[in-house]
Amino acid sequence: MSTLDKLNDVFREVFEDDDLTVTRTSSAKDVAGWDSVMHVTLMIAVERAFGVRFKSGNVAGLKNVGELADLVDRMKAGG
Amino acid sequence: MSFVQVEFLGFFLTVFALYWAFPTVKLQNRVLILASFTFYGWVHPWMLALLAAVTLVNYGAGRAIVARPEWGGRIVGATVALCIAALCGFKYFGWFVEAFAEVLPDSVRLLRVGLPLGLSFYTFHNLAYTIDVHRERVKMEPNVETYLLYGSYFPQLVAGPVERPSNMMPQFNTPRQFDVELVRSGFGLALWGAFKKIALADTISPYVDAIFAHPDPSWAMVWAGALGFTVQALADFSGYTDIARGTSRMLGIELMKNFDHPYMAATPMEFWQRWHISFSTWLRDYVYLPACFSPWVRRYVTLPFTGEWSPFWHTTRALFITMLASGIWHGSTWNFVVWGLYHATMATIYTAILAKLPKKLKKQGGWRWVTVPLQFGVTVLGMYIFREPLLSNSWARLQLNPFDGSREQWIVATSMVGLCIAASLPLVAAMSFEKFVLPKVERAPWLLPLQTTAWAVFAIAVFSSVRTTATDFIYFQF
Repeated sequence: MSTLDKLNDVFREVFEDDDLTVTRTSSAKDVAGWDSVMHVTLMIAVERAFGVRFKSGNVAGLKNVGELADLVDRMKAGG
Repeated sequence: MSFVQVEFLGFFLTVFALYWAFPTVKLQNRVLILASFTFYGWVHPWMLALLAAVTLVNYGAGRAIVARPEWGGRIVGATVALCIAALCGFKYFGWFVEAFAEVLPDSVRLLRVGLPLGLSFYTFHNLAYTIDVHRERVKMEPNVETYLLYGSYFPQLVAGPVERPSNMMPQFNTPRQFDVELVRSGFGLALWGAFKKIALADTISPYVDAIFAHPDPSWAMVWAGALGFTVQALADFSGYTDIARGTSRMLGIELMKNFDHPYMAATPMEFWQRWHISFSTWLRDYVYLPACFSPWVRRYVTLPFTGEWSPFWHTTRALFITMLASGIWHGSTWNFVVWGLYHATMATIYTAILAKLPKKLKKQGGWRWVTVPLQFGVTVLGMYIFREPLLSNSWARLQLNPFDGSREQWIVATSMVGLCIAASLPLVAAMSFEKFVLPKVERAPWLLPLQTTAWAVFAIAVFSSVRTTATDFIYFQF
């Protein structure tokens, strides 16, 4: 399962929407309810799903799901 | 210098002509640096020293972080502390003197230190660069001229948008060609901004001031005044932003959108995604998220009694820290603290309630018809707390009997509401046109004449509304 597919599962769980599909270009504007509060909940859920630990510098300024997927891949690779 | 001063017209025309007369980015940037320092030092040349200091400190910090990455955290900490200390020193000096008047010597007590125009905005703008270099979200800018321009660019210098280096640096480093379409579009945006500020906000402003200054208003007057300030605040601040964005666009530099129809928000969280977006996202990235994710917080601040790290507890706590910081930043009176706490409380209540509601309900067609007016009520109350400096007044006046009031007081309240509706009509018409009509008629032959006619109407309205004692933009005081 690719990082993006796994992220899609996390998004569906956090936003409680089984029909939700995110792509690399999806951003907060494309997902209903993705506000600052949900962003934190989402990041925690991503941490738990992938076994990584973010810092504030990582999660601030992410432009889209593609950047999030790249960040997760980098952190898993130990970068 | 202010955008609504007559001098600004002459200043901008000169800058515009000189700027486009030069063929290279380097020379164009130099014109903009010179223009920015002239713009800022127009009334108080000594304030230039402060602008140069804040800009150069952050430029130096960026270089130091790259030269010594192992010290990055400390360099950021020291730069943030220095800049925030300078900001607080100017901002709260008056409060400090008042609070400790009895124990302070005359030499300190009699000092009159005002807040330099735009200090908050360019401090936040410059700090964004230093923090982002440390976070490796932008590259360090080696060219001191480009950085000086980033730190002092006049269209957004005194009241935002609080820009990010990732948006500005590439634009300052890229060749810019004169584009008549961009100039036309920028001119239209700036004119629309001037219309909102001068014809709408400044027309309502004296009536709002009179109602808030009234010693014994009725309940209806209080709420009509709050509604008036709600309309005035949007017209004033979004008007300023549109002038900033429009003039910048005429120079080939695109500034970020700062307002996105905030009174159409359905929740407090959505409101902050639409109101003063550049500052809300600044707070999110540099205060709220660190208050949730910094390693120190995650290690030591856990859920009371359980030792666990709970998303709800942390987002709520971070929300209160952020909104309190925002409130304190707005001013040293208690109403701003209460205003911050009020918004944090509302966001928390909404988050808790929305999490319990079924998803289906939120997707129903009528959902926004209920939630948008409800959120507008939340916003109006927030505006009232923001505008009324005395908490005792707010508390007493919100408890007034809604049915009390003399005939004259009802006439005042009704007139204020009528004025609000009249002032909102152009805003609603522009929003509806932009959303529903423009996408369908972009290539229509009559669009250009219509646009030109609209500009003429705005220009006539601006020049017939302008007063010799023009009021400053509300956000100049912050």
